[in-house]
Amino acid sequence: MKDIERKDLQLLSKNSDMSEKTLNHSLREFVYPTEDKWSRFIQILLLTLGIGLMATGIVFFFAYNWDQLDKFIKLGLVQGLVVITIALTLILKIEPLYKNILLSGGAILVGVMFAVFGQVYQTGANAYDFFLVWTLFICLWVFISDFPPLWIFFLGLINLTIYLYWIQVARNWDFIYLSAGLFVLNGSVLLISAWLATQKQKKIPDYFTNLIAITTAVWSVLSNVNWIMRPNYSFTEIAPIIAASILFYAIGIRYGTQQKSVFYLGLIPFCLIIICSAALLRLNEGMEMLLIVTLFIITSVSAVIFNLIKIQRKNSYEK
Amino acid sequence: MKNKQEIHEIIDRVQSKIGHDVSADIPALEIAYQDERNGQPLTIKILSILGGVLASLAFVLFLYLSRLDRSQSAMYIFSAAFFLVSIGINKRYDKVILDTISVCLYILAYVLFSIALNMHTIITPYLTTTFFLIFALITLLICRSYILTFLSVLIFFGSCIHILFDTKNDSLLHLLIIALASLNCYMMLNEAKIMTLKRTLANRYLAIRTGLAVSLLMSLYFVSRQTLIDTNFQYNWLCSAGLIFLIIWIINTILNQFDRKQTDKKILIFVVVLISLGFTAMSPAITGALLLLLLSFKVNYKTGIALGIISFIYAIGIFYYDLNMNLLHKSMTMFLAGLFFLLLYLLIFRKSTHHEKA
Repeated sequence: MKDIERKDLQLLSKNSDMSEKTLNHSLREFVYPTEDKWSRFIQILLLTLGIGLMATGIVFFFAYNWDQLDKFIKLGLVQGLVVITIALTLILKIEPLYKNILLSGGAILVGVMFAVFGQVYQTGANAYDFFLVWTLFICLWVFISDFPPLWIFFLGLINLTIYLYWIQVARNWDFIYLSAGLFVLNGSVLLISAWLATQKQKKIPDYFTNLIAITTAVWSVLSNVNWIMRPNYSFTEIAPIIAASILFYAIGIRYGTQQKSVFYLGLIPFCLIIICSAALLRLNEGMEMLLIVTLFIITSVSAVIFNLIKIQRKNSYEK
Repeated sequence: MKNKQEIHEIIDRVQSKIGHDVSADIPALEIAYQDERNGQPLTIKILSILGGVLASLAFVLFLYLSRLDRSQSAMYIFSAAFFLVSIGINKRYDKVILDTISVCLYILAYVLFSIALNMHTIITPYLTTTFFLIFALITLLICRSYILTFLSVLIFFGSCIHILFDTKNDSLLHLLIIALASLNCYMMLNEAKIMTLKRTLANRYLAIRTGLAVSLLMSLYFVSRQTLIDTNFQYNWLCSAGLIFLIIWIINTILNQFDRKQTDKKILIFVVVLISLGFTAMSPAITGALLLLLLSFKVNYKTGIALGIISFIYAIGIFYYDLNMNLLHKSMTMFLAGLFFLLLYLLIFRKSTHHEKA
């Protein structure tokens, strides 16, 4: 069974004859850190402070002398760091977790390397170029390491590249293309990872799928609210967004019901509430409608929460 | 939420550790576990807060469009009604499902009140916040729920800070920080006492603790930059001295707790702490964040640990950023500081295989 937590003791003390002394004793036994944990805590504190400050000091030292350095040294320094990190990943016999962390560090250094390259040769490239090459050059490592934080970083880079491309190059595109595109892109990644997790029994951490789900939700709400609030779109532009929304939301709700996931069954209805509120405001922007929207949000959110609590109760009884 | 069997298991384990029997009211415990609010998943909490905020926004827009915001009496009436209803809801039905509506009404009550009050032509600047402070205090006294308690603690100390700035008493902020730090210490170190003191207080213990931790960080933020407050820098030193004293006192209680009572070692540890923190005395934010981190770790309070780490890193970063030196000297200072901590680490953990603390 799970460890006894603070809330267990709190509830127990409330509903029993525990004295202050007994409660204090049990808090010390079950909740408070032991001497070993303190020693570990101080170890980590001192090490992080020591290494962190020293590393920053070294970086600042180069930053101070940066202008005087030859371009050969500048590029060599960063590229050397990339090579060393990757070599360490390959050579060192350490736990896979640490290897993955090293590799992620290398992936970030690749970005630094391109930044230095751009600065030395004054490539004058658009910012999206920079992020595009960064994304391209680390994708092999991302696939090989299969490390969730690195994947998140990679997906973040992709989103950023597309967003910057839209700002700097495709200026005549309407915002709705960007939001709908990113909605479908992130939604597809989410679908694939959910499929891998359920069908292929691949272990994918919750924070990874949840983060992508939130990104997808944000873009889906933005694209939907955008066409609802601005009437100048043709049906062919709107239809794919509606279709994608129905598809992804339906799959999400089905998945959430199957997995009894409070997260999906909270997130998707909340998106729908925002979209419906926008639609209500589009119908009539008057003051009466705002009052109706207020009441709508309160009742619908409460209804969603009511449903979630019911699901959660059912889950805990079945356990 | 737990079933009967799990509850019995918990009681058995507690009994075996403390060595004597505890008579518990099992049916009441079962109900308590069902209504347990802190066991609610994060999704539900966030959803209720987001819903409350969005609905309030829509309502404020409604007031604006309907021109009701021009009528002072309407604003006062709405404000009072919302305040009473939100507290009433919380007092009568302490259910997560009603959190959305009560949070929404509670925040609106404050907003509408300040709109109404600011319609008076002659008004002292800090009058609004003084009223906020009183309202928050009233809420704290009568309200029993987690979320309103947390909000009112934040509003109370937020108003305090605002009043200090409005009356140009910035330097008193340092006193507030010391007071908040001491309150945090008291709350966390006397957990068992407070929980068993009164049933009603035990319910809100976690909310007050989180509120106090966030309030402390909030006030530390204002002393983290020299540009934010207009005060004599010597007060920063005094503030740091107070916080360092608290840290040393906490370390002392920890050492006593684990029966490490040799005076010579204790003094050595205190001197090391004094030296390391003394260098950053002009930035009380560093010491304050470290204090919160230590306290939270001592009672294994996860939110506090996370808040402590984030603010500690922020405070150190800002300290170096604002340091009046050129980049070369900064880099050398950092390098030496890092070296100091690494040497300290080697000194403590290499020499002795048994556990020791700094």
